[in-house]
Amino acid sequence: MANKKIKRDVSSRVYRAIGYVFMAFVVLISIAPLIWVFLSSFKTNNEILESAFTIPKTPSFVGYQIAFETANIPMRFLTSLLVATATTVISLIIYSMAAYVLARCKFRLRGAVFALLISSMLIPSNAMIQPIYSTVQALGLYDTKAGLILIYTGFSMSMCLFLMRSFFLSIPKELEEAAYIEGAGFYRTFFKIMLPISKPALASSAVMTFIGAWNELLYALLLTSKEVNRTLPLTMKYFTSMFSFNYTPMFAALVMCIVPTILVYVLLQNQIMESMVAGAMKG
Amino acid sequence: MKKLFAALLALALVMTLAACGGTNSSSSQQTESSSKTSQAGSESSETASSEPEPAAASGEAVKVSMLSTNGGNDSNTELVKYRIEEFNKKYAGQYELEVEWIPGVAEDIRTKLKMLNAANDLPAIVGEMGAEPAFADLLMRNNRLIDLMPYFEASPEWQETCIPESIAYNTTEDGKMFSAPNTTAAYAGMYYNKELFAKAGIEKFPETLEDFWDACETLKAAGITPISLHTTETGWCPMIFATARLALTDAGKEFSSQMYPTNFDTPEVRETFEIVKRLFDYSTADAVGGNYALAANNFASGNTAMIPNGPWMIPGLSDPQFAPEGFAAKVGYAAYPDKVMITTGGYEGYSQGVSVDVPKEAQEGAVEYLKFLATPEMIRKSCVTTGDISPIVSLTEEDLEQMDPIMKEYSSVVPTLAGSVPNYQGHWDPITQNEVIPTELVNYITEKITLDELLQKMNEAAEKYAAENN
Amino acid sequence: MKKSHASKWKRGITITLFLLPALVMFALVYLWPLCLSVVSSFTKWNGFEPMQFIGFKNYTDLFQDSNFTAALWNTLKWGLCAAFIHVPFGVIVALVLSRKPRGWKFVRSSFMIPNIISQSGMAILFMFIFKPDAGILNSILRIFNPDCNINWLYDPKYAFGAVTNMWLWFAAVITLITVSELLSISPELYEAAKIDGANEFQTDLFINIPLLKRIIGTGVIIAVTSVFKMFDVIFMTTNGGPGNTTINLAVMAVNSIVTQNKYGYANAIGLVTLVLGAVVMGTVNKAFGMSKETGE
Repeated sequence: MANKKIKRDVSSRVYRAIGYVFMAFVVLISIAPLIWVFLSSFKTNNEILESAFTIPKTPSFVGYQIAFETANIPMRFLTSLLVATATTVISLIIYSMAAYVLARCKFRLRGAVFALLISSMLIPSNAMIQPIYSTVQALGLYDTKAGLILIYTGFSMSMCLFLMRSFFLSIPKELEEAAYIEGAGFYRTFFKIMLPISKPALASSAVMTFIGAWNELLYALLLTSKEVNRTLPLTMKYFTSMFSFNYTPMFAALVMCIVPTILVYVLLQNQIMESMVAGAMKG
Repeated sequence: MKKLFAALLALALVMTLAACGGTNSSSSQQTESSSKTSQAGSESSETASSEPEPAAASGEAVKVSMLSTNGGNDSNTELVKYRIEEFNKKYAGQYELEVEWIPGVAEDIRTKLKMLNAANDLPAIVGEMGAEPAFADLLMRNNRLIDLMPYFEASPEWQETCIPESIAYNTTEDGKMFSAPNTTAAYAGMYYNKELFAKAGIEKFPETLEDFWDACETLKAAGITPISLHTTETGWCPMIFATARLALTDAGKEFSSQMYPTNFDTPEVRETFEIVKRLFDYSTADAVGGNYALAANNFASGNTAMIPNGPWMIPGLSDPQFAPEGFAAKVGYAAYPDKVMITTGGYEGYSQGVSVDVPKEAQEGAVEYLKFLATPEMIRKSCVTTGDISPIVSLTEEDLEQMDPIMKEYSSVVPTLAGSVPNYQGHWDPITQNEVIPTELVNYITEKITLDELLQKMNEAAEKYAAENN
Repeated sequence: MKKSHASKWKRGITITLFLLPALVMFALVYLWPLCLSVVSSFTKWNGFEPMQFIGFKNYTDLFQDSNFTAALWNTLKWGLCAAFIHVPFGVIVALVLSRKPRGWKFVRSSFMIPNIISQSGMAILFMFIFKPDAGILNSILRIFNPDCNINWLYDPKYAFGAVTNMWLWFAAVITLITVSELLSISPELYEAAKIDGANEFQTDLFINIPLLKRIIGTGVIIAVTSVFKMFDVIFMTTNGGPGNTTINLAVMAVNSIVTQNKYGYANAIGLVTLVLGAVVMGTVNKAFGMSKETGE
């Protein structure tokens, strides 16, 4: 018995060591780009292009200064935050409802409805510019934040539906049955029981939706025209035009776009962690 | 249940947001043709645009909408800003330009114009037509632009400052004019680093192609990379150097004036590409597959001794973000060997037009702006700041004083030219330029394909384009 | 009888109510584009003038276009890379992290960073990694071989591999969804396995992976479809070159529109992508038993 335990421990230890190798690799490929972008935002264009590794000789905030002069960064930040947050909240609400019904209720055309909604994942986005503009214009949402929120909520559809439906499917049915026996109605069961235990899927969807909405460039440019409705990542585009380039402020703008998203992500992750303590119910 | 309420509340929120948006453009909903007012109308509720705020009294000023790029250290952006400011000052209370600044490149503007066009929402001034003549042709063919001829004919001052060739080019067979004629042209030649030339023992910029290759060898022998090049973005730097030589033969000139040529397999074009290939022997390793930004930076940081480009790059050379302090003083400007250059804008090519989608008053405002650009003051300003050359309006002493030394050198080179041809970008079909050259030039330079194969691919692309668009 | 009828009605209304917002969203954002791309793929259309119906000509043209063959082939190769390298890598990292080794939270958060950096930002970054002279990769390789001067993105021998590596290892989305799933597995199961003398490898192989089947399937679909649509990283670096070694269907479709105004042709390419994606989804759905409910 003891022998077997030792053997198991040894092999597990080896297995764990391999795990650390994977972790080291992941950290390397993930952190290196960020460090590089961060350092570059303090270098001059020459330093950026000369050599990949150098640390800026005289770190300068010129890039940030130029970025702030070119665009109203605080306002753009708020715009982006509002658009991405609203998109995330609305997406979670409407898609969790749809995903629940698609996972749990039996009705005719269920497969067809799901297939239809999921097909949105595959529609070529370049075929969408004109129809989307016409829709947004017809709703009177051109050059409004609501227009962007609407479109981004649409874009997050397939990812959210997929994740949440898959999660709902994996929850044991007994949980709901118990709730029904206790006299809870459909709505109550969904909002009070199913949603709280679906936090992992909700959080994953939230992260992905938020990042997607935050980083979107094409429609952010096409569907807005006034400075108040311009989002933060568009600032980067100011510094990459064909016959002029300015990497320093571009990387500065990039850093300013990345940092808030990382914060949101880390916060959400902690949220998931807390909710997960009592969450284990599968198997 | 509380959560459900929260959900409904959120939905209600969306609806109100939507409704808010709706009020902005509700006026435009009724009058489909003038939906541009949506942008103008919403001005009242939300301020803080990058444009100077209109004085409260100028409520009646007609808004004239346009799109413009807002690049980084690009002298054109500065010029556009200046023009807009001056126009709004001059026409205060009557017209007001309302600019949507597009971060990015001209391509982004055209993408947006195409989108707006599909919904009959073009801005008053439709610009950026020169680099994609196919798009301009479509706009004209479908009556999306107003005929400028009545205004043009009624204004002798306007006619006076326009380049006659450009007037002819922009007048259709039935006597209409959809794009304002150009008043200036810019020439593109070669920047060279005098310090590096001196270091290699070269006293002046080579005058013939043979001398040029010798100079390249000398530079290389002195451990200096001779020239900055790149292959993406239609291979601009090597291509302008090589195509400029088409100006030396009649056949080359004829080829250069063709719109959408379908046969690249001519002796002149073969020579052009042989020169392109040889140029890469004298360039940096990152030139193959590199972009203009890399090429320009190699020059600005003193890694290379030359870069072919137009005068719009001059202000950048004294920008500390772009080049080290004092760099501009080392730079000289020359025509290509045998005194040739290429032209951009100028004689052939479209510029800007006025759309049919805006109310009459806005159209008139837009025409006023086009006229305003053709006034001698504005022309001189563009000559001084971006290196445009006007064959009609001459510069004053004061203008010359304001000029950057490199710009002066450039201006003195242009009159001595033996010949020039229009920029290939305005003439060759987009498939050849944007798909074949960036992907196949690399293969040709690295000898993965032969010149015959390259030319054949270009011909195929050109024919494909011709077949699609006729 | 009557009561059940009424409750059936009520249920129907509830279902409709729950589905309605998503359906409205679909109708607003996707329905029109979907119809437009299907219809226009059978026409010659420059996005400007009226469509001219030309039957299947766009499709027959496609199969004679050498770029299309290359693009289709590359798209499929990348799809396979996504399914067989990208997703397994993400799952392995998830399995490692789920044991909560030291620093696992840090690793998990940092893995997300490359996904947070926008695609165009990553593309610019990789241009600097793959640059021949002062590029990061060559600078490292020169430690071992001082003459290393490979132009990774523009040498036809290396271009495909270089572009692949621009996304292949950034599997944080897969890891994220898998970790969430793993953390919801009951610890009792692991206790039982431990008592049976299973080591960690065996636990992963016989307990975790079978329980993860559905989420892995989801991951494969998400990864493969997003690789099918991959655009920015290619467009901003090689734009499909050199030659057509790194072209894919998405780049080809956008180029057809941007440089040629061939909307009908581009939408035909889009529809081919859509059909490919549907096939992948169907296959994965079947193979991973994803539509089944637990305990059924």
